[in-house]
Amino acid sequence: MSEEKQTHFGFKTVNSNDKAGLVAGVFHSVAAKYDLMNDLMSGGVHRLWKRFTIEVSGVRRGQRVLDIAGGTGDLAAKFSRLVGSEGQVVLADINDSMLYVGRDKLIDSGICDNVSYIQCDAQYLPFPDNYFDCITIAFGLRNVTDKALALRSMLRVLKPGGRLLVLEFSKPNNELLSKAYDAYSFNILPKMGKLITNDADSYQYLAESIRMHPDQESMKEMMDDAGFTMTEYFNMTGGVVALHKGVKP
Amino acid sequence: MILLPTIHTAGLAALEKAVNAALQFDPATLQALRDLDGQIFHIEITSPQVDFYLCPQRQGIALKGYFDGEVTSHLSGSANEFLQLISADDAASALINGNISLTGNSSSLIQLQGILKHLDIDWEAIISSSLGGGSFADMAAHSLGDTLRNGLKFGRQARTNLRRQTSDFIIEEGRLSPGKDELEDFYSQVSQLDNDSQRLEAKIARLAAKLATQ
Repeated sequence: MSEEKQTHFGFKTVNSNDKAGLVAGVFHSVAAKYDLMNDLMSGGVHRLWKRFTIEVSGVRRGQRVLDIAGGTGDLAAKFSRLVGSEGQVVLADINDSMLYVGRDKLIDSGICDNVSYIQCDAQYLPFPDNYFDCITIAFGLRNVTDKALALRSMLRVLKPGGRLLVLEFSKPNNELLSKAYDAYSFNILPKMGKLITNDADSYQYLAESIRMHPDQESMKEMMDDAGFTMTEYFNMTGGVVALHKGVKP
Repeated sequence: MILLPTIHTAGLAALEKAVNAALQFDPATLQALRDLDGQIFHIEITSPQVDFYLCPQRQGIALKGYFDGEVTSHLSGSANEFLQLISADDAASALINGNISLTGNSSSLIQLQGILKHLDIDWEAIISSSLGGGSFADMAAHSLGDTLRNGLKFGRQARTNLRRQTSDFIIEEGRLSPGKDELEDFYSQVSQLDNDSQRLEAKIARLAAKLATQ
């Protein structure tokens, strides 16, 4: 009898093959109010984290950018303005509900010329080798079943010298903040989710999945192991969020 | 400091938003800035310690906390030295004779100085309209406008006001960050909620134990 590989879905242990479907269920449920919940949960601070990510990306006019797990298009909208008509932004997400919301939002803002949309799996990116100048994945990597596989896939499609930016929740570097953060995540977020989206379980998963994600140094090591160089990270808001950067040699 | 990177980004975002909103009322300056589109000025203020990148663009300016590409000019000096440079009639002399350290392109910097020196923005109109108009708003705007006009020389009073206004803008207007009191209040409420939840949990456990023995 073969043993099925197992992984985590929040604090639960599930078969690896089932995780993507479970995550899909979460994001189908939250898609419609995803932006509102981001604002409520972070007090608007997520906009600052993403602004910093854009700065570190160094994206310029004419470049080609891939925004993975781009969902509702926050980063893609800004990249679209930066790369201009000579550049290209690809907004990719495994979840079609999130992509519909993102596409509608961008088109409604008049952003349509240089952005394309694709539903795909970060572990198996359907692009040629050495294709993108920059790849970003914001608050998406922790939902990927095999993070190492996804990182190798991103390395493949980056151009030499291209950079990967991973923005993700991480481990606070202060004990007091850590306790407040735990109390907030496990006691407040699910209640907020219930109130706004009528879905407490998805926000329970959010809180749990953050705790299961590698810490700052572990994430840096994973990027090194995948083949990235000049890896570094920036802690924000006391380590609640970290931005990891790596370059394809 | 625990929140410094986020606060730094918030501060720059607030200042950028305020300056670009004001530039919409000064098309001459906006046009002059467009000529410098694509150039990057690294401003390193040593006292107080503030480090940022000023990037003129077609639609205004961008203020960044991080940039690792090639910069047009890198300037380092105290806030007072920068203020003297901005207000100098002869920027080249000010650079040669002053204490600001400069590497890179000086002619682009002199061009930028010329733009900033002649910044002519009707601060009162902007502030008054943002306060909703009316005589009270006009009075408040006049007082604040005076402060801001003098404050472009960034005397001690203007620095304090700008810091308070930027802080107010971040917290109250831009809603870019909760205030310190809000945060402390919030953490206190979370802690109270956590305590209440644990007490409730303990009560339920006692009741369950009691029922089990009956």
